Amino acid sequence: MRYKTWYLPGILTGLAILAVVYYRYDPGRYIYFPKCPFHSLTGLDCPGCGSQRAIHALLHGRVAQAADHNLLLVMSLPFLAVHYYHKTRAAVSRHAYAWGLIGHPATAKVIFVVVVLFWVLRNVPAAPFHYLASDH
Amino acid sequence: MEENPPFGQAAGQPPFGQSNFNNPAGPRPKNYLIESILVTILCCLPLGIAGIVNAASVNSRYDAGDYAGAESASKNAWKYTKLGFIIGLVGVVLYFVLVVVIGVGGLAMFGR
Repeated sequence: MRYKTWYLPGILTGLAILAVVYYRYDPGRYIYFPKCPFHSLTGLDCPGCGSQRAIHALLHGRVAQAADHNLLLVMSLPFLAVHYYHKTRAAVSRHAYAWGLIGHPATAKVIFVVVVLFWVLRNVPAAPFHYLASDH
Repeated sequence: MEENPPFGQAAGQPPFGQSNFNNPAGPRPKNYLIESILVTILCCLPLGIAGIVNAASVNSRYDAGDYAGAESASKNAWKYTKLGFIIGLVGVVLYFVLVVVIGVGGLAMFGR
Protein backbone atom coordinates (compact mmCIF):
# COMPACT_ATOMS: atom_id res chain seq x y z
CA MET A 1 0.00 0.00 0.00
CA ARG A 2 1.56 3.21 -1.11
CA TYR A 3 -0.69 5.75 0.60
CA LYS A 4 -1.83 5.70 4.17
CA THR A 5 -5.49 4.71 4.34
CA TRP A 6 -6.71 7.97 5.86
CA TYR A 7 -5.17 10.16 3.12
CA LEU A 8 -8.00 9.98 0.62
CA PRO A 9 -10.95 10.35 3.03
CA GLY A 10 -9.05 13.11 4.85
CA ILE A 11 -8.34 15.06 1.65
CA LEU A 12 -11.89 14.64 0.36
CA THR A 13 -13.38 15.80 3.68
CA GLY A 14 -11.05 18.82 3.69
CA LEU A 15 -12.02 19.71 0.13
CA ALA A 16 -15.72 19.39 0.93
CA ILE A 17 -15.39 21.75 3.91
CA LEU A 18 -13.41 24.25 1.81
CA ALA A 19 -16.01 24.03 -0.97
CA VAL A 20 -18.79 24.91 1.49
CA VAL A 21 -16.76 27.83 2.91
CA TYR A 22 -15.87 29.18 -0.54
CA TYR A 23 -19.44 28.73 -1.77
CA ARG A 24 -20.94 30.51 1.21
CA TYR A 25 -18.51 33.42 1.56
CA ASP A 26 -17.11 35.68 -1.16
CA PRO A 27 -13.35 36.03 -0.51
CA GLY A 28 -13.49 39.46 -2.14
CA ARG A 29 -15.68 40.78 0.67
CA TYR A 30 -14.54 39.09 3.87
CA ILE A 31 -11.32 39.95 5.65
CA TYR A 32 -10.87 36.39 7.00
CA PHE A 33 -9.49 35.04 3.73
CA PRO A 34 -5.70 35.21 3.40
CA LYS A 35 -4.25 37.83 1.09
CA CYS A 36 -1.43 37.20 -1.37
CA PRO A 37 1.83 38.39 0.28
CA PHE A 38 3.29 39.30 -3.13
CA HIS A 39 0.27 41.47 -3.96
CA SER A 40 0.26 43.06 -0.51
CA LEU A 41 3.93 44.01 -0.79
CA THR A 42 4.16 45.09 -4.43
CA GLY A 43 0.62 45.87 -5.55
CA LEU A 44 1.25 43.57 -8.53
CA ASP A 45 -0.59 40.35 -9.33
CA CYS A 46 1.14 36.97 -9.08
CA PRO A 47 -0.06 34.01 -11.22
CA GLY A 48 -2.21 32.85 -8.29
CA CYS A 49 -3.86 36.19 -7.49
CA GLY A 50 -7.63 36.11 -7.76
CA SER A 51 -7.89 32.34 -7.44
CA GLN A 52 -9.95 32.43 -4.23
CA ARG A 53 -12.47 34.77 -5.86
CA ALA A 54 -12.33 32.60 -9.00
CA ILE A 55 -13.15 29.49 -6.96
CA HIS A 56 -16.10 31.32 -5.36
CA ALA A 57 -17.36 32.29 -8.83
CA LEU A 58 -16.83 28.76 -10.19
CA LEU A 59 -18.78 27.20 -7.32
CA HIS A 60 -21.67 29.47 -8.30
CA GLY A 61 -21.34 28.40 -11.94
CA ARG A 62 -20.02 31.75 -13.16
CA VAL A 63 -17.15 30.60 -15.37
CA ALA A 64 -16.67 33.90 -17.20
CA GLN A 65 -16.33 35.77 -13.92
CA ALA A 66 -13.89 33.16 -12.65
CA ALA A 67 -11.81 33.58 -15.81
CA ASP A 68 -11.85 37.32 -15.20
CA HIS A 69 -10.34 36.82 -11.73
CA ASN A 70 -7.77 34.22 -12.72
CA LEU A 71 -7.65 32.89 -16.28
CA LEU A 72 -4.80 30.49 -15.48
CA LEU A 73 -6.88 28.66 -12.87
CA VAL A 74 -9.81 28.20 -15.26
CA MET A 75 -7.47 27.06 -18.06
CA SER A 76 -5.84 24.52 -15.78
CA LEU A 77 -9.16 22.85 -14.89
CA PRO A 78 -9.46 20.57 -17.97
CA PHE A 79 -5.83 19.56 -17.50
CA LEU A 80 -6.45 18.72 -13.82
CA ALA A 81 -9.66 16.87 -14.74
CA VAL A 82 -7.85 14.59 -17.22
CA HIS A 83 -5.06 13.96 -14.70
CA TYR A 84 -7.42 12.99 -11.89
CA TYR A 85 -9.48 10.87 -14.29
CA HIS A 86 -6.35 8.87 -15.17
CA LYS A 87 -5.27 8.74 -11.54
CA THR A 88 -8.64 7.41 -10.39
CA ARG A 89 -8.71 4.90 -13.24
CA ALA A 90 -5.21 3.71 -12.37
CA ALA A 91 -6.17 3.29 -8.72
CA VAL A 92 -9.39 1.41 -9.49
CA SER A 93 -7.96 -0.89 -12.17
CA ARG A 94 -4.62 -1.30 -10.36
CA HIS A 95 -2.74 -0.50 -13.52
CA ALA A 96 0.04 2.05 -13.87
CA TYR A 97 -0.86 5.70 -14.40
CA ALA A 98 -1.20 6.02 -18.15
CA TRP A 99 -1.30 9.69 -19.19
CA GLY A 100 1.98 10.06 -21.06
CA LEU A 101 1.66 13.82 -21.52
CA ILE A 102 2.57 14.38 -17.85
CA GLY A 103 5.88 12.60 -18.40
CA HIS A 104 6.68 14.31 -21.71
CA PRO A 105 9.78 16.51 -21.42
CA ALA A 106 8.13 19.48 -23.16
CA THR A 107 5.00 19.60 -20.98
CA ALA A 108 6.56 21.08 -17.85
CA LYS A 109 8.61 23.55 -19.92
CA VAL A 110 5.53 24.79 -21.78
CA ILE A 111 3.66 25.18 -18.48
CA PHE A 112 6.61 27.08 -17.00
CA VAL A 113 6.60 29.51 -19.95
CA VAL A 114 2.81 29.93 -19.77
CA VAL A 115 2.94 30.70 -16.03
CA VAL A 116 5.73 33.27 -16.38
CA LEU A 117 4.08 34.91 -19.42
CA PHE A 118 0.78 35.10 -17.55
CA TRP A 119 2.56 36.65 -14.56
CA VAL A 120 4.18 39.37 -16.69
CA LEU A 121 1.28 40.10 -19.02
CA ARG A 122 -1.41 40.42 -16.34
CA ASN A 123 0.59 43.29 -14.82
CA VAL A 124 0.81 45.24 -18.08
CA PRO A 125 -1.56 48.16 -17.55
CA ALA A 126 -2.56 48.42 -21.23
CA ALA A 127 -5.64 47.57 -23.23
CA PRO A 128 -5.77 43.83 -23.95
CA PHE A 129 -3.61 42.70 -21.04
CA HIS A 130 -5.29 44.40 -18.09
CA TYR A 131 -8.24 42.05 -18.61
CA LEU A 132 -5.91 39.37 -17.20
CA ALA A 133 -5.48 41.27 -13.92
CA SER A 134 -7.20 39.74 -10.91
CA ASP A 135 -9.34 42.75 -10.03
CA HIS A 136 -10.24 44.11 -13.43
CA MET B 1 20.88 -1.56 -31.65
CA GLU B 2 18.65 -2.10 -28.67
CA GLU B 3 15.71 0.05 -27.79
CA ASN B 4 15.37 1.54 -24.31
CA PRO B 5 15.06 -1.26 -21.76
CA PRO B 6 11.57 -1.88 -20.35
CA PHE B 7 10.67 -0.02 -17.15
CA GLY B 8 11.89 -1.70 -14.03
CA GLN B 9 14.71 -3.62 -15.69
CA ALA B 10 18.35 -2.78 -15.43
CA ALA B 11 19.95 -1.50 -18.59
CA GLY B 12 22.51 -3.92 -19.91
CA GLN B 13 24.28 -1.40 -22.07
CA PRO B 14 23.72 2.34 -22.02
CA PRO B 15 22.19 3.49 -25.31
CA PHE B 16 24.56 4.76 -27.95
CA GLY B 17 25.89 8.23 -27.22
CA GLN B 18 24.67 8.24 -23.64
CA SER B 19 27.44 6.33 -21.95
CA ASN B 20 28.33 9.17 -19.58
CA PHE B 21 25.58 8.17 -17.15
CA ASN B 22 26.43 4.86 -15.57
CA ASN B 23 23.35 4.20 -13.54
CA PRO B 24 20.61 1.60 -13.78
CA ALA B 25 17.27 2.44 -15.34
CA GLY B 26 14.32 2.38 -12.99
CA PRO B 27 10.72 3.33 -13.62
CA ARG B 28 10.19 6.97 -14.60
CA PRO B 29 10.24 8.94 -11.32
CA LYS B 30 7.11 10.88 -10.37
CA ASN B 31 7.57 14.48 -11.47
CA TYR B 32 4.95 16.18 -9.23
CA LEU B 33 3.92 18.43 -12.12
CA ILE B 34 0.25 18.62 -11.13
CA GLU B 35 1.12 19.25 -7.49
CA SER B 36 3.50 22.05 -8.53
CA ILE B 37 0.80 23.66 -10.66
CA LEU B 38 -1.62 23.55 -7.75
CA VAL B 39 0.95 25.14 -5.43
CA THR B 40 1.65 27.85 -8.05
CA ILE B 41 -1.99 28.77 -8.54
CA LEU B 42 -3.24 28.33 -5.01
CA CYS B 43 -0.56 29.59 -2.69
CA CYS B 44 3.18 29.70 -2.70
CA LEU B 45 4.28 30.97 -6.04
CA PRO B 46 8.11 30.72 -5.85
CA LEU B 47 7.97 27.16 -4.50
CA GLY B 48 5.44 26.15 -7.14
CA ILE B 49 7.66 27.49 -9.91
CA ALA B 50 10.66 25.69 -8.40
CA GLY B 51 8.51 22.56 -8.48
CA ILE B 52 7.63 23.05 -12.17
CA VAL B 53 11.30 23.58 -13.07
CA ASN B 54 12.22 20.36 -11.28
CA ALA B 55 9.34 18.51 -12.95
CA ALA B 56 10.77 19.55 -16.34
CA SER B 57 14.17 18.37 -15.19
CA VAL B 58 12.83 14.94 -14.11
CA ASN B 59 11.46 14.31 -17.60
CA SER B 60 14.40 15.56 -19.63
CA ARG B 61 17.02 13.84 -17.46
CA TYR B 62 15.16 10.55 -17.57
CA ASP B 63 14.90 10.70 -21.35
CA ALA B 64 18.61 11.51 -21.60
CA GLY B 65 19.41 8.37 -19.63
CA ASP B 66 20.42 10.18 -16.44
CA TYR B 67 18.27 8.08 -14.14
CA ALA B 68 19.97 9.09 -10.88
CA GLY B 69 19.64 12.77 -11.88
CA ALA B 70 15.95 12.28 -12.64
CA GLU B 71 15.49 10.60 -9.28
CA SER B 72 17.12 13.51 -7.43
CA ALA B 73 15.10 16.08 -9.41
CA SER B 74 11.99 14.16 -8.42
CA LYS B 75 13.01 14.37 -4.77
CA ASN B 76 13.60 18.12 -5.16
CA ALA B 77 10.23 18.63 -6.85
CA TRP B 78 8.50 16.85 -3.97
CA LYS B 79 10.50 18.88 -1.44
CA TYR B 80 9.40 22.21 -2.97
CA THR B 81 5.75 21.28 -3.44
CA LYS B 82 5.54 19.85 0.08
CA LEU B 83 7.17 22.97 1.51
CA GLY B 84 4.74 25.09 -0.52
CA PHE B 85 1.73 23.23 0.86
CA ILE B 86 3.01 23.46 4.44
CA ILE B 87 3.88 27.17 4.23
CA GLY B 88 0.52 27.88 2.60
CA LEU B 89 -1.36 25.99 5.29
CA VAL B 90 0.57 27.60 8.17
CA GLY B 91 0.17 31.03 6.55
CA VAL B 92 -3.59 30.63 6.21
CA VAL B 93 -3.98 29.50 9.83
CA LEU B 94 -1.72 32.29 11.17
CA TYR B 95 -3.55 34.89 9.09
CA PHE B 96 -6.92 33.72 10.35
CA VAL B 97 -5.74 33.72 13.99
CA LEU B 98 -4.25 37.22 13.50
CA VAL B 99 -7.51 38.61 12.11
CA VAL B 100 -9.54 37.08 14.93
CA VAL B 101 -7.09 38.32 17.59
CA ILE B 102 -7.09 41.84 16.15
CA GLY B 103 -10.87 41.77 15.93
CA VAL B 104 -11.34 40.56 19.52
CA GLY B 105 -8.60 42.90 20.78
CA GLY B 106 -10.18 45.85 18.99
CA LEU B 107 -13.55 45.06 20.51
CA ALA B 108 -12.03 44.75 23.98
CA MET B 109 -10.15 48.06 23.69
CA PHE B 110 -12.67 50.27 22.00
CA GLY B 111 -15.94 48.70 23.01
CA ARG B 112 -18.60 47.90 20.51
